[in-house]
Amino acid sequence: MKELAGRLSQALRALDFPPSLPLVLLVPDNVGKALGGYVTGWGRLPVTLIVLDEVSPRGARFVQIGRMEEQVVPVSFHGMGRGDEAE
Amino acid sequence: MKDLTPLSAIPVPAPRPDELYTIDAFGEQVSFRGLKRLLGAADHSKAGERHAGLAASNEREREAARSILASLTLQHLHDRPLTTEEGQIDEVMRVNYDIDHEAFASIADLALGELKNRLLRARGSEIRRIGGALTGVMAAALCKLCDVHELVLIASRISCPTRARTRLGAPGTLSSRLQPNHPTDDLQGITLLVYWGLSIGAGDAMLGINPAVDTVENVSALLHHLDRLRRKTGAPTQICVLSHVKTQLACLERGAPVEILFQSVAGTEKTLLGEFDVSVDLLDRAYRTMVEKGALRGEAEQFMYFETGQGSELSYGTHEGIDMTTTEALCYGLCRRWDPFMVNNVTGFIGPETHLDNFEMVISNLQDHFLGKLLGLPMGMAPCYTLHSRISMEGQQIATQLLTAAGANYYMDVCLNTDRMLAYFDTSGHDDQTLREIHGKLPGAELLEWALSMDIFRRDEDGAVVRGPRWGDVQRFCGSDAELAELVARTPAAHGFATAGPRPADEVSRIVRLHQAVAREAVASELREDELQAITPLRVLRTGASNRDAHLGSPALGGSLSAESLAKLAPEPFPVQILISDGLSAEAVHHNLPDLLPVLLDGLAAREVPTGQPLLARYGRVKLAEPVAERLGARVVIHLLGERPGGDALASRSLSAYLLHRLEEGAPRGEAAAFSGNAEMRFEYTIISNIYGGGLPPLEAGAVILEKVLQILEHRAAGNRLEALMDSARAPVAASDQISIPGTRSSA
Repeated sequence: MKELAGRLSQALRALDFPPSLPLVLLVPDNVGKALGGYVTGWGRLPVTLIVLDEVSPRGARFVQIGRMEEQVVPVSFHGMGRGDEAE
Repeated sequence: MKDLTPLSAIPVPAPRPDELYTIDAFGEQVSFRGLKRLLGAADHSKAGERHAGLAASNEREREAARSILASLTLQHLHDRPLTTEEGQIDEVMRVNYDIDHEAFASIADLALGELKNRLLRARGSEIRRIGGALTGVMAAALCKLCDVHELVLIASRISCPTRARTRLGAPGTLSSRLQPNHPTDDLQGITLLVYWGLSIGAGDAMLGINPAVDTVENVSALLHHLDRLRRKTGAPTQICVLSHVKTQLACLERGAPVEILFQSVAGTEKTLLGEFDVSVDLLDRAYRTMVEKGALRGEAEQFMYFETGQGSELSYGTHEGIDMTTTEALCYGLCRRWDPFMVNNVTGFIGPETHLDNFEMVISNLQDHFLGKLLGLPMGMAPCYTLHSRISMEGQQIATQLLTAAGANYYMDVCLNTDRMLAYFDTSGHDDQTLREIHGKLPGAELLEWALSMDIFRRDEDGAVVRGPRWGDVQRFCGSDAELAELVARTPAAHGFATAGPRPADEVSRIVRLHQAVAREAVASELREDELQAITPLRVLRTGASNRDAHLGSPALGGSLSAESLAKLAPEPFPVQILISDGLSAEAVHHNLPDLLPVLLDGLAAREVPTGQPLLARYGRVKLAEPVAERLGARVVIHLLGERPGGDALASRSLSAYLLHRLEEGAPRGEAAAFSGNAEMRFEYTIISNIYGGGLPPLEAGAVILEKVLQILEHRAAGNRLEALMDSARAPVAASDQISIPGTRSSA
């Protein structure tokens, strides 16, 4: 995870990823805070990063993320199966 | 609504000096100085009393104490209130004197032995009337004169029904509180456990979760979820999330469906206020709020739910020299002030420092049930055990058979006896149904009607209620097999739905018991210091416990530093220190530290939080962080501690992080005292629990701990006060926040 976070962090720096643009990561395991912490140097890298963890990976064209309510963020996958083709 | 007598209007006799009680026990003079010693010696020998030096040294001494007690009048006990160590009458004792004075006047001259005889001859209504005239001390003294048959017989004549949305404790019923605890409060796992319990006719007393995380946001979410499940299934019952009363009131303020208000209570003010962070005044306000604003206002007759159990005062070292049975009785004398909907006794929950084996647990449960019923409370029972004691499932089952005969209102439904969050073993819905069938009991009327309509129960040709064709059919509540499989995947220790009669099928029971056996082994595991030193260099400390037996038997030893270690520690310029100790599972430390500690250290370093070299202590307990914080002058001690093994074999690796906040002199201590009402408070705690592969993964736990430590440092507060400060300052979640939400729901 630390290595993955390091690579993501390096890529964001290389791209000069704008803080105004949110970057959303969906990860299957319960590692959101730790991954986010390492990617941003525990808050020192000026990026807008949202990590949604415990979301099973699925092929899809796009993902709709709803408003958090009662500590649950509804995540809807659209265009199932075609995401793989797009890759 | 029950009238609450102002404390100042409850008369309590002035304390007197201790007297010498002496008796000739067949040629041997046996003496006891003061009522506390006499009451302690008159009880059965239990681990807690032995550690406190209150137990009789032999059977002759015990019977001598009982003979003296039997000769004392109720007036004698009335006129000698037990005091604090400082000689004061505390709030709990004062509330205990809020009795029916007219009824007391009619029995004041009776000796306790005579009172026992009278109760054995009396009908239920007379026993209830007399119970209203007794303080907890009087009831406890009486209890110590009763054998098993007498404890069961007298209690069985007392009925204490209550009503919220449904009726609880009606004669002929045996109900259950469905307890769908989950180590991460996962809503899908909770859903499965609710469905599972309802499918076997459990949950008529309540659907009640002990939350893993006690925050307003999380507790509100759980309350709304339980409310949805109740409405979806149509099961007639009430819901509760058993968080701190302050958290629940904040949830109610936000519009969450708080139907019944829960709080753990204790039999001394020092425990109630200092450890549980509640006062009589707070509970008075909470009770009035529920009557006026609770979700069942205008419908329910009772609104409160209290949990108790022998030994909490003793395990905190705040028992004031009073034995466990008497403090428990004082606790009941306190509970009746708020006319609760239900009271639940969890004697056996603490561990071998209070109840070592099956006999100690069984007899204490019978005493507690007797005391609660006598003092007018709707008693549910949860005879339970932890794996570091010598109590077994068989002892627990013996207790339930006796308690059912004694007329317990309800038991827990902890699925397959395995609490997935609290690391202990309780009764199950299968047990409840088994006991109903053995003792001819039924669920509460409202749930029974619903369950008959759902074919969970049916009436046979003679009109008797028996298990129906869909008893145990969990799948019926799910939309599909796939949905059920998804719920099962989110639930630890879901070992199978198969049943045999009212019991789990043998293949399921065998898995449950094997997991218990493996988890029990973790208690005996020893710390491997070399392995831990390889993660990061550690400073080694010694506690007051020199061996494992001392460690298990006396938490106070594990909560103190050895003289040598004390001398080694001096003030350091680091606001944060990390302390690691085995607690009750060295395996928890071995399995979690390699992932957790590097993340935590990296995070602390990145955020430039000065941190001392981590410390390691064998045979440590929770309170060990306190002398460490004081000696080193740390503001925060992150205490990583192996939890008592429970749940399944994997959960024997469960670690907790106790985040101690040392209150500095001046404003922080003043603010904490004002918030809690406890002027003596020196530390606050935030707890992050269930850190293991099946709960909060250690990698993520490192980041969660860091986040919480930063909040504690920023707000100079921890525990309930921190949550209240954060809640008042909380803005809607901004898009720029990094968020991680356990249990995120995805749909396609």
